[in-house]
Amino acid sequence: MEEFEINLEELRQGIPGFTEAAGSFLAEAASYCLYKSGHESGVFLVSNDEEKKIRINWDRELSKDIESTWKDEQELVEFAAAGIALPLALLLTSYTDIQRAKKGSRADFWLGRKDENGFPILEALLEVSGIMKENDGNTIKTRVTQKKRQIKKTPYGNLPAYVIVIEFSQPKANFQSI
Amino acid sequence: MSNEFVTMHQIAMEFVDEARLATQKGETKVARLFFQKAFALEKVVATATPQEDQYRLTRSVFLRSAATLAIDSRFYQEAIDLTNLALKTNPHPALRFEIEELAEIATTKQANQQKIKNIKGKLVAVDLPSLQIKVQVIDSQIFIPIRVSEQLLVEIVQQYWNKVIIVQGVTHSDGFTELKEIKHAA
Repeated sequence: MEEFEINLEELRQGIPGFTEAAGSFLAEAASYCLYKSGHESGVFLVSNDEEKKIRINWDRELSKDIESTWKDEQELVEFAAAGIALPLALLLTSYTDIQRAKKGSRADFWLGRKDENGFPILEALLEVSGIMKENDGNTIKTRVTQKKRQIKKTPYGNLPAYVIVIEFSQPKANFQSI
Repeated sequence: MSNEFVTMHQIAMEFVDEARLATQKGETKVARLFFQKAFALEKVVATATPQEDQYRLTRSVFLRSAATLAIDSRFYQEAIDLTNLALKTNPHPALRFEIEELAEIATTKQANQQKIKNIKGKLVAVDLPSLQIKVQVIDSQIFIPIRVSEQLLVEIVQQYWNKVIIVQGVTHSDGFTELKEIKHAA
């Protein structure tokens, strides 16, 4: 099994296409969501093909106000999934840059690279989704299928696209290219 | 230097978040101000995107994004201009339909927003640099500036100067009235 590592402290320093502030926000959501699911720093996420293990590390202690900050579980899971999926996309694809898509557009993020002047070149879609705890009515597999179908239906259907779904209780990561 | 554009896009997206939050709270005026800030930044990024083929998707995405924000800001003419620019500059096929849809939405919204105004008065002044004529409303001290095209300006002045006229104009969202029709009052 291939092993990867995501250090959420690095996310706090910003990743390509994301400021330190945005990275910190996502890192906090990701570490709290894993903690809330009973995990500690160093926990492994297993990929859908069970060929990859991704260790998630964080150093910072969670603030005492974190519970009141992240009262809305749906919001927490959404941002926490992005906090893990974005570094994961950079690890598992050849793309080196991520840009946020405008809300209301048909994608969550754009993957790509930067030109020699630092200007982004968008090349592929990235859809991210999170599940706090998988159950019969809400499985990773169903979520991936929904997301894939969603992309296929749109005019973006012919672009390279990726779907990443993170499940926090086990925890698992499903990475699919379309 | 181009990293400034990345920062601008990131900040624009943060303003969009703020706008959504304000909308959720029912603060529509505040939301529109945030959309306008986001639009101002995203337009700079969109229009700065290089023309080469490798940026085709990027350019279409940013132009579409800026046009959407222009609609959110109620800057419909800006949205029309940006969608026109996107459609003229070889849009990516994945986004062509969405851009055409946006152009239609902006045009419809602009048409609904414009108000037709009929004014009876005298043509008493001309502001050449601003391409405006000024009509004094009959029996009043009210002067209404009306924007006219450069081609028509001289002809209008020659034909209607100091005469009682009836002007039909369209008032745009920026407050300016644009000439649609001018004739002598009966």
